[in-house]
Amino acid sequence: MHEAAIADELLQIIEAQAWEHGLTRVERVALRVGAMRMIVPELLKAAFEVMAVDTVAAGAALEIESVPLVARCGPCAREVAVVDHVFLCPTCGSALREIVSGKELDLMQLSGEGGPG
Amino acid sequence: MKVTVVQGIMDANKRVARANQALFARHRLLVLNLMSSPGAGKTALLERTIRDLRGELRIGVIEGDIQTSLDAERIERAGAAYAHQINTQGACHIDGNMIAPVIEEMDLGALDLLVVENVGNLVCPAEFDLGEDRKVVLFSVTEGEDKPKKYPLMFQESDLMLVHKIDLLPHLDTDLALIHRHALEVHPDLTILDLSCKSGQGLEAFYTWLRAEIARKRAAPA
Repeated sequence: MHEAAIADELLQIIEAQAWEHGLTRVERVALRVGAMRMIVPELLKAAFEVMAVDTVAAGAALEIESVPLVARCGPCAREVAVVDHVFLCPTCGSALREIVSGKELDLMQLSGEGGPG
Repeated sequence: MKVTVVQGIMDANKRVARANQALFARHRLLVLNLMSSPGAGKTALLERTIRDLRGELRIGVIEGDIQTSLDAERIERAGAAYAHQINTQGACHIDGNMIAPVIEEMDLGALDLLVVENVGNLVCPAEFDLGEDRKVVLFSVTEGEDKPKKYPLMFQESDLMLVHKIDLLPHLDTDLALIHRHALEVHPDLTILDLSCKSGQGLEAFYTWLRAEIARKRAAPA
């Protein structure tokens, strides 16, 4: 359900970036989304589609790259995949305090019509 | 053409949150973001806390609800130093922008503690920083032991978990130790306190935590 709130924030950034770079139409939006964000890609796409009507990003395709949740175990000195949000090292049982990836919620690239030249 | 942006989607909110944080820091005021599912007892716990600590702590509360000002009225009746109701008009969380104009006009220097009571929801509020010092998740024993694992971001982001309504435990099949274990799997450094605002069990430990946090904030550089 937080997909709608995130789509709203995303659309504001896209509108600002499109204006700054002179894009008259945004056709493709590339995102990186970490597993910890618990985002359902279909819901984010659906929310974005509805909110983007009558904006520069109307009809734009959202491309969502999922980033797995990985943490670093201090005692084992290695990176481990975090499964089912259990932040404990499967080898030594230590608490996994250092998150390496999986918290991303980033807009990476826009493409469309317009721009300099 | 292509434009490479690489920008956090929540950056705009984070900027506002940092500005709020700077304002709180100038007043060395401890600010808590209190979150839970609907009906976990956020307002009831605040009413009890305000009553118990009247004369010791001047507590202000910003109430967030989709509709109505019922909660701010309850907080005011309990004797809060300040109560303000925000109606989010459909939004399922409070964000930094919503509290910015409120804290701008408040007398922050007249408070010892400011609590932002978020909209009842275990999902969206976890995404939006307000500029608070501590995120506190309130979780009632009737909600089921599995919820910390079903809503991991909320429990990951929180600094303190209050397990509420423990006076009901004799009537339930709830396994309190399992709630703790699930929460600690998701966030191994989470501080957990069990309490009931009805029976009063565990409240003193919560107040001790509050006092220590207030003292720490007062000693922090402005």
